[in-house]
Amino acid sequence: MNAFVNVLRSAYVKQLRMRSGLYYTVGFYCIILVCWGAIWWAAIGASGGTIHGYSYERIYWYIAGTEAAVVCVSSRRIEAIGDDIAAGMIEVEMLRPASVVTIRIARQTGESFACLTFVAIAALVMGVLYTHEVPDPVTVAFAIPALMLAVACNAIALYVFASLAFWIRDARAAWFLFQKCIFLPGGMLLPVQLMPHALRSVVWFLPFWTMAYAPGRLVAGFHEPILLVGQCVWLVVLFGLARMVFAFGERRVQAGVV
Amino acid sequence: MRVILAVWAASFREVFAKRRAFYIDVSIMIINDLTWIVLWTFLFNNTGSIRGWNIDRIYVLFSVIAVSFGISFGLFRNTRRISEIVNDGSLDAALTLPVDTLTYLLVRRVSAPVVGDIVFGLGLFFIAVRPSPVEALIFFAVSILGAIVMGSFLVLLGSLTLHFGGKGEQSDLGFEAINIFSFYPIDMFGGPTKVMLFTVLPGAFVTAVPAELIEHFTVSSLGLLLFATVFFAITARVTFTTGLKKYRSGSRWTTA
Repeated sequence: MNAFVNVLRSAYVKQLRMRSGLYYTVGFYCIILVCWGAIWWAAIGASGGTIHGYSYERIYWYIAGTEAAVVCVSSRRIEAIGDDIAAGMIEVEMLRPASVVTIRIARQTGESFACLTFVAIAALVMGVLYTHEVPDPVTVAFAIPALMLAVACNAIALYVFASLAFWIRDARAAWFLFQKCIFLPGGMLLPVQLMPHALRSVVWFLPFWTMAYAPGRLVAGFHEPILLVGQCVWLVVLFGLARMVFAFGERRVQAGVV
Repeated sequence: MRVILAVWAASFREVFAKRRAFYIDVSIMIINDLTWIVLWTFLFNNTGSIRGWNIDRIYVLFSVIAVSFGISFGLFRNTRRISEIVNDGSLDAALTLPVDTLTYLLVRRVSAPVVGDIVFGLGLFFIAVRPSPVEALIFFAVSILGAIVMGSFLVLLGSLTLHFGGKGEQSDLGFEAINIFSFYPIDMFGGPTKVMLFTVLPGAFVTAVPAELIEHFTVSSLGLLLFATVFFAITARVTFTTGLKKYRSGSRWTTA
């Protein structure tokens, strides 16, 4: 646990110091909010003012929340992790007296939290500019842990997905699928309430809603603490899954199959 | 010209060398693109048409996006990588060759996943839109023109690295911006954003104007698209060529 916390903290501090890349992420994030702000303005206008309980202001904060959580963890990392597995980097890291996947997750999460620090500030500025509303203290109290849990769940899920590379070498573009799972069943661009009933039923059994819908919903001002509980549960499940799948993969590496 | 075509053919052979990986990547990209259609379907189910846009018009828009994108970044993968090539020294090897440097760089790499966009775009257009022969002809022509605008814009941004240095962040941000704004119906955006999309960030010429030409062909719109294509192509070429005159070797010998 000490190693996990230390690696997370040092990755956070290091990323804050080397922050030029974070400015690009914030710029990209602002462009997305401008774009989706315009689309939802048109959509809400076409629907007479609200859609499934979302006014323009609420849907804007929703998108600000979902995008903030997702933009801090690049799904493209899956490709890089796959390349590391193929290149034998995992074998080298297995020589250390610590779990490979735990240390990597700690590093990824620390870097993503640093990004989230900047993006959250941009979210607040853009949200206030576009909605002329400031979030109330209860919303902020729910939103901050929700965003952090979403980022952590996403960072861990990357490793669950990327560990496919221990078995399949030919799926370099697989990260697109992961990203689209967050887009659609994850509720990144469209709240779960707007999905067809059949998909809505399935969404809760997948982990992707923890990475986008949960923080979006709480940032939008819906005070639903059960979402935080769900995120915590999935965090534990995903972490256990990542460790298990990586352990299987590492055995393949040791056996010389990979 | 023969040499350039031979290099391009070799790039294709490189990608096809791993057949299984190629087919998997193309399939994944098709699923990726389908997600956007599903998303818009869900949105329209909740809102009805938005500012005159419905799912049928989205099919046309996405067909154009997919094919233009696939041509720009699938068939000419290095369009996006000019900054990276300049920074990591790969340009040096290309400068020694007896062919036009920019053309060589553009044909040197093909991207398998993005080729899947072309497959998806063509499939969506012919299956969902069911065009007439004239509409199909216009579709091919405007998609190619849109691809030239997009590719030229990114070559222009990447070539700025030759003039001003840096790591190419302007190229990455420009790509993301034009990618994002091109993806959505232009009528969703307000006045200032629309002006931007017809000028400094030419997303309108990548998707909106081509889609408009397929639905309602006018000579003036075609003229505007042709002008934008020629303008950005020439500007990109001039920026790259003048930037090469300032280039000093990074002394790292790799292949582009």
